[in-house]
Amino acid sequence: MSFKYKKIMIIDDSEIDNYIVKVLINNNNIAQEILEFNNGLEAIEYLETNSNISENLPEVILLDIYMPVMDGFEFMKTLNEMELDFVKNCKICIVSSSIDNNDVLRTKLNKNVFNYVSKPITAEFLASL
Amino acid sequence: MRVLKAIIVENDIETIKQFKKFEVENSVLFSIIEIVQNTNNLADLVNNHNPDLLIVSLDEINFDENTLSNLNVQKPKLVIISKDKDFAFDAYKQNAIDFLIKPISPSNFIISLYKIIKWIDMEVVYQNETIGKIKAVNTPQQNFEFLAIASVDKIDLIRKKDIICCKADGKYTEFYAINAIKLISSRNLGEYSLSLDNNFFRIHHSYFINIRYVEKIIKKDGLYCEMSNGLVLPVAKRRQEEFIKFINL
Repeated sequence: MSFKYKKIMIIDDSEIDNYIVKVLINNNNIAQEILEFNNGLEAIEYLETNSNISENLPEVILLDIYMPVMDGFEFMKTLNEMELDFVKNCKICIVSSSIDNNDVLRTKLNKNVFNYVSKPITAEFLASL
Repeated sequence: MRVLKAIIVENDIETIKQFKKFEVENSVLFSIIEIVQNTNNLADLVNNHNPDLLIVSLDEINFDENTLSNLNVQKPKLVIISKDKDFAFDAYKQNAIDFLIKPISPSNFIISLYKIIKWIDMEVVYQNETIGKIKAVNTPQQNFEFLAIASVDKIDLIRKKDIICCKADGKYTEFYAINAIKLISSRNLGEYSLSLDNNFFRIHHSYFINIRYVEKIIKKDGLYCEMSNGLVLPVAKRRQEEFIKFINL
């Protein structure tokens, strides 16, 4: 079985949202492995720990904006400050149900953000990555 | 995670197999209560099982707005399925949450479930916010100027000082206010007892009056209050003494 990506990281505090994304990724052979985190801090800690092990790093990050502990904006800020090499080749997609245009603008101004997509994420979107 | 309970109306065996397979693979999210091949007893089934979701195929199955007209439970969310995309218009007219073309794609169906969960979540949030607003406005300690009067389809805010009297009508309450305003609340009179200010007195099990609007007190075969809007309301025998003290007679 061939997969488009080896690893996709999903960062979202919603159990149902994560479940749906995992099913779509698995049903459509998008990624071999899914790294799932419920807030930005957990994900940052994983990336810090694995920063020198390239095979453990994701090729795509699906990032929610509003989460407890560390939100999507704070995650992006921290990730930028870490200056990790893998980020240059990683597609970071903001996946949010926010209806605030400022959130959309704010994410688009971040040079490391690949795309902004409204929830629910679809199989077509994942296939287009 | 919330499991959505579904009734399916479908007579195509392949589609039924697809849904059953989906149920097995996604049991944390989706559960089939019953599969029927027509809509003959659908309203009874819905009343008995109160499903979250109704999946209806429009291929060779009659289903219209009258099919579920006699429900005594909340109408389930609707997903219409068909081989023919032309039925999308019917789905739209019936306020379906989603329309799916057969063969059903699991990736599309799971998005339908997601939409339903979010829709239900929004309904719950809206309902809780509404109840919260009513409670906040009706909390006596906060001494708000307004009283929230909730009926089935709206919430009216009325100045307490403008209320002439309130009358119990079974589990409802009628509010009579100045300028011939009459409002009906779906809450009972007792629920308002703490929300009304010191100018209100319960003269009877069924009536609160605002003392500002008493025009006359009639002593004839008992005690009656004639209000400024012409209503004449009885003072219950066991409340007469307290009422007389209240109005300093």
